[in-house]
Amino acid sequence: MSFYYIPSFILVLGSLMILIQLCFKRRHSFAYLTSGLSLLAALFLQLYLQKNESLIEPLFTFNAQTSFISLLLFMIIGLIWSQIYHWLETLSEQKEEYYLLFLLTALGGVIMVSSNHFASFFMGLELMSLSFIGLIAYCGHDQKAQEAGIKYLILSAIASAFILMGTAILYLQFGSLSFSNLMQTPSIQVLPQWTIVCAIIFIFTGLFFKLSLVPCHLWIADLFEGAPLVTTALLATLSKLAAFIVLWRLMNLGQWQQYQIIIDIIVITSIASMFVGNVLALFQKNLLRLVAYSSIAHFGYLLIVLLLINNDKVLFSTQSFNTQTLLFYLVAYLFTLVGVFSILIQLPKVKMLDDLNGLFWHKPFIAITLILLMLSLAGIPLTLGFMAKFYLVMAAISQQLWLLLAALVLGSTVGLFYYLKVILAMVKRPKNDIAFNNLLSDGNNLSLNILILFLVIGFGIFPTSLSQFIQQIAN
Amino acid sequence: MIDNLFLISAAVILISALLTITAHNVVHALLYLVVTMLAVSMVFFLLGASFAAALQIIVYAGAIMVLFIFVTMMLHQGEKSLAQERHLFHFSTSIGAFILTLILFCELIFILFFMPLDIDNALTHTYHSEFISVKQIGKQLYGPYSLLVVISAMMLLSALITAIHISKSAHILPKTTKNQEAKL
Repeated sequence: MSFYYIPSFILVLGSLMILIQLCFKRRHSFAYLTSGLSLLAALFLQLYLQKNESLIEPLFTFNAQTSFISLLLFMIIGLIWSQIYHWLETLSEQKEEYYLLFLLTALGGVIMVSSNHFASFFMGLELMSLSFIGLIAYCGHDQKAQEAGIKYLILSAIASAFILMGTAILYLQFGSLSFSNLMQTPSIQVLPQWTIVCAIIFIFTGLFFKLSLVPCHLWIADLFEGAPLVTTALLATLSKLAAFIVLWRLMNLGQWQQYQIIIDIIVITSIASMFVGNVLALFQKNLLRLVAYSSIAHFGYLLIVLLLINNDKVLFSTQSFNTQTLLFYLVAYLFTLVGVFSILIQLPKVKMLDDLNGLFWHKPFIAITLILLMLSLAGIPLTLGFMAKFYLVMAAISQQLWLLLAALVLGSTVGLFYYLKVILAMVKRPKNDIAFNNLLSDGNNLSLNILILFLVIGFGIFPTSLSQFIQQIAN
Repeated sequence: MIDNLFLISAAVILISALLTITAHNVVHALLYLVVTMLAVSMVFFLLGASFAAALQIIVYAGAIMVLFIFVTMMLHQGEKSLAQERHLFHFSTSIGAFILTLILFCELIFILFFMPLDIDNALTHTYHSEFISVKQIGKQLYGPYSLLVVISAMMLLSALITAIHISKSAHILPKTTKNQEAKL
């Protein structure tokens, strides 16, 4: 058994510890500490494993990129974990199960990120979605959360069915479920080409559902609104990160750009996601729905990366520049999004945009943090989001994807409108002044906000260290 | 020959699966679900995966029925629910499932006793080229794929925790919660 498995085993161990402890005596703080310690240990081990050489096993593959993505995943989960305790204290339900499901979700994400086999990918996906159902429908008294849970259950089952069908067809052609066998051209063409294209479309449908790209995006707004905020934060970051990495790896290994239909589908999906996401967000009064729609648009932008792999029309960039773009964009977007969610968790009563009125005058620090995060999402210079978009535009120019580039620019312009709308809502004078007086602002939240600000603005102004690090990994 | 048998089983799968989703009554849906499982196991059998076929029957058809009986027993409320159950289940409602099962049974009888020998041999050559034994499956599961077993165990754990938590918090009667805790 390789060293690389240890972070995942620590997660398993942590969840089993919580389970055993839950049988004897229920104590919230113990579950909190156990999950935190196991996450921290996994994070540090992952950090330590960055320097190890790559390893390919039948089920999993480990190299610098997967280690970095796992590290990113652990960091995001750690940031979200630090917000759980206060929120759970306000619930009447039993609290320990949340940590258990939380750790299992993280485990599913880690498995997906480093999977090298359709079986391990699918198991990881199912582990993640099954735990998500529990996390979404955690509040039994909340009708909306229950509804969201049922919706996610049924839709993710359909998505899984699509993925399984696609996998079965690919197995028929390649005779193996391993991702690395997708690379080899088979000696005999068992199936006609259109069936393979069909299989790829099936797998894409399933993954597009997880990424909530148009046309599989209808669930996301209801889910973001109905589910508890912490779960929403996980859903928006962890599940999308893992699904996108698998999509990217499959595209990369199978060299699916050789099929023109697949390229067309990705272009159409990408442009449609940018358009639909931004336009829907523009007319949205509900803050969480706005974030949901903007995340559709952001993953629409990110789909451009899929079109870059092994393209012939390379002007000045190398193969690794595409990987760098992907990693940088993921780091920038996910950290910004986690920041936005952690601010929203600190403002539990805020549902609509108008509820934010006057935040700037009462809690200036929280408001400024949120303003900067919104600017980062919009891609204003001196933030991390700008650098990410810069990378993306550069990659798109180098491969001459003019249509997508035009859509990206248009989408970002529309995006700027609604991000500014959020900022304006905060600066507006409120009708009643007492709305934010009973907000809890302890050292924990404050330090978290400072950390996020440091990441988003610090790396936005001085992106060199981060981009050099990513460059090192991509090579 | 074998293709036709396969097509019949596949048709039975599709029909019974559709009837499962469209049935309004839980008991009827479950009956059709069991028929679906039996038909799937028939398909496995035709493809030469006899172990998978047996597992399909033991795990799905068997366990689902047992679980269902278990649940009805747990929710039993004496004479009143007995009357309710009588109302739920007539023989006439099960006729569809019965006919579908009969088709499968006829197929099985045909394969076992009336199959011409040469076709049987051809079948053995095309499909049984690599006979997969229980031992081989076990070796794979505890060898290269042992991590998958661990992952699926964690998956079941998460499903179990989710189910228990949601069903617990759905009805907030404190008394039942205590009882369930004691059981857990």
